[in-house]
This record gives sequence, structure tokens and C-alpha cells, in this order.
Amino acid sequence: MKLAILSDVHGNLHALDAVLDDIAGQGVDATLALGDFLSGPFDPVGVADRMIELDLPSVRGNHDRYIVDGREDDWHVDAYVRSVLAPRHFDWLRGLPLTAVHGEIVLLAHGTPRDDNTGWLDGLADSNAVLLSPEHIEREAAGFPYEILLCGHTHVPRTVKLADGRLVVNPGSVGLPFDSGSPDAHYAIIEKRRAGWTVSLNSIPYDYQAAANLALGRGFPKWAEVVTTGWPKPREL
Amino acid sequence: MRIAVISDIHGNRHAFEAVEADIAQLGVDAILNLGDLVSGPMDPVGTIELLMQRTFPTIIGNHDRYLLERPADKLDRVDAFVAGKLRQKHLDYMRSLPKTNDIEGEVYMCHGSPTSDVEPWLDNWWTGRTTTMPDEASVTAKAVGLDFPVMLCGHTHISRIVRLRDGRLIVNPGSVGIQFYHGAPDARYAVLERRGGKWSASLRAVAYDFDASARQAEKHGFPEWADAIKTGWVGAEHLF
Repeated sequence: MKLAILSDVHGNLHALDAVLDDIAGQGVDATLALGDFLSGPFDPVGVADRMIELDLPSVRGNHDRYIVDGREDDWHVDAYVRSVLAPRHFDWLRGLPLTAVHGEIVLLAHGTPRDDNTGWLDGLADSNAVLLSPEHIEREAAGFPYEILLCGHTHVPRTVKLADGRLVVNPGSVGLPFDSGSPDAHYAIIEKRRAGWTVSLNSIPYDYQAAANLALGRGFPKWAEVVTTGWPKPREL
Repeated sequence: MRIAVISDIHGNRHAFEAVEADIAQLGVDAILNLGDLVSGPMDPVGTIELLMQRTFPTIIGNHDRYLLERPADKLDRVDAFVAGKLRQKHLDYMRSLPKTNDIEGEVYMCHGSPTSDVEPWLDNWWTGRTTTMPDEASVTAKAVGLDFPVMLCGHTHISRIVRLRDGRLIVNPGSVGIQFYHGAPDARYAVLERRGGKWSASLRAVAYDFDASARQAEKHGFPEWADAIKTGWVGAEHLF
């Protein structure tokens, strides 16, 4: 079995299409998507239409939920996205589950299986991404007996193997590579081999400037800097 | 053009063989090896014998240099064990290898940073179990004057891909043979690919029979290495 995994597109259609092109040449059995599809000042409508058209096995991210439900300290970006979506986009977002299971062995989640706003593998220390403790990672996996546990949310590409051999994989972010040192679009391929699963954390160059120009045109210069450099921290957004 | 990048095998022959098998299945045009070939209590002789049969470009790392330069009583416990196993032909082979190299002006190879085989390039050295990326200025400063589209480094055992503002790529493939604090025992390496004139990279984690390697470390009296090999959660400070 060979699967492509993408997450945290954040409205960046240029990055998403570059990743989908790359996946098309990989010969995968399925592509799975882990949420936070639209929250970004790029082309959220284009991303929503692309995702509706592809109809991939998908779960919702915390920002997908905020766009639908709102929240007290609403992000200006989520407010912007909400203002440009059509009813069909809201219907699609509302239909996304918190978790999903693919092929009986792969669990899809955005943050952790219980909470779309909790990092599974990484937290922030002095605003730098750091690997969380094995106790935290194991605890969040308790009760989910799947060979492969997928998560996103942190934008940090990472694979961790649990004590019993289950693999937790975060593919990083397709569209918003903050705190990564690279503007490339990130996604993952996992493949089952005789000795076990091989994970490939891929980074794909694309037309960063085209995405940045959209963010600049909508008045979000920091977002433009993230997609052209990959260096700003999440708190700067 | 597709290139596999391996580093920090540290005498783990089982991990190296699994990575070579994965590379063979992918199909590459070249393999590059960034050093720290033998420093580990698993199978240093078996590993170096395999490497001596390979013709791919290889540089030495800081631990290879220690084995060549230092008398036995100045080596840490693991390197002292390895020094006791290596024969003259192995040392001669290691002595023939450069500290840095470049491939046709396209890809630059170093072990730590361009100026030091013990200086990490893409990570702040770990404190306890955390390792973080340095800021953009310090990562970029070490690349000044290096006119290569791709620059490779190892040493930290943490795999990372950085793309500088001018488009140059810096890649650390992680370690083939011994995983420090990052939570998975799988063997790591990287694949570079040039398409349409642009280089991109992917970081691979390959499952292998780590229990077999752990048993070797245990048999040679290094249980802390066995633990690190099986879990990927042990820090370097407990190993050397």
C-alpha cells in the first residue's frame, strides 16, 4: 500500500496544485488530507473547489471549524475566508469529521484524535518547534489501534514510532511552512514494505511569489513572507 | 538526476543494508556519504568492509578523524572499542577520504559545517531532549561563498531541509545508524532530485531489523546503545 498525505493547505492553491502534480507521478493508492484547508489570504475559494472536486478522504482542522462556527477571538484571516466562501463551501466544511479511518489501518486526525487544536508530536519552546515527550505522544495514541496514525496542525514534518510499532506521521504543511527554513510545499508518502513502513517527507518547490502576491494584494505581508521564506514563527501571524 | 545522501552510519551494518536496499528500489544516479562511518559498538568492521567495496564519494566525520588522529587513551569508550577492532587497511581507507568534497560544482559535502566537522549547521545542539533550528542569519552565514545549488551536512543526526532565500538548498539527511532524541528507530537518509533545473529533497525513514543491531551493541557491552537503537529516544550525551 502506498499513500500520499497532505495537510494544512491554508488556502494556498499554488502550493496545493504543485503537491498534487508531484503526487500524480508517484503511483499512490490514495491521497489523504488532514484539515486546515482554507485559512489563509491566498485563494481559499480555489482550494475549496479543488478539494470538493477531488473528494479525498479528509478530516477537518481547527481553523475549518472556526470558519464554520466562529470563535471569541476570531482570527482576521478566518474572518476574511468566511467572507469569500459560498454556501457549497460551508456545506463541504460542515461535512468533514474530526477523525476518519482509511483501509482499516490508517487513522486520520488534524491535531490529536481527541482534539483538533492540540499538537501530537511537536510543541513550542521559546517559540521554536520541539518534539514533545514520549509520554504525551503515547498517551494521545492510547485507544487507537491503527498501524498508521496521521496528524497535522503543527506544520512540522515528523515521524515517530511508538513502543508497540505504530507509526505517527505528520506530513508538515502544504501551504504555510512557518518556522521550517524553507518555503517549499511539504507533504508525505508512506509505503508498506516487507520490513515495515517507509516514510518519505517531501518538500516541493513551486511558484512561491505567485502565492505571496495574493497575500500582499489582500493586505497580509507577513503571510507573504512565510510563503517566500519559511522562516517566520506562527505567533507572527 | 536523483542522488541518495547518507550520513552517520556509525557502524550499524543492518541499518546501512536496509537503506541501500531502499535506494536500490528507488533507483538513483549517485550516492553520497557524509561520514562518521564506524563509531558504534554494533558492527564497525562489517560496515567498513562494505563501504570499502563501494565507489561512491565519501567524506570523513569527526569520529573518523578521532580514530585516525588520537591515541587509544584519548578516545571515548565507543571509539576505543572501535579502534580495537579496526585493522590497518581500514584506517588507510579512512585516511584516503577528504573532509569536504563537491560533485561537479552542483553538490557540496561537509560533515558538520563547511569550516568544522563538529559544528552543527541546521540545529542548535540539543539541551536535554530538545533540538531547535538556529535562526536564518546563522544558517545563512555559514553558506556565504559556497556557490553550490545544494549543500549537504550531517553530524547532528537530525534530518532537515532548508532553502535559503537565493534558492540554494541545505540538506541534513539524518543518521543511517543511530537515532538520537527524535522518537523513531528507523534508519534515515535523504533523496535529492533535480527536475526542470530545480533541486528538491525528501527525507526518508526506513524500517529495518533494529533488534538485530541492538543485540550486537548489547553483546559488546553497550546496553545504552541498544536502548537508543530500539527506541530513538536516547540523547547523544549518553552514548559517547
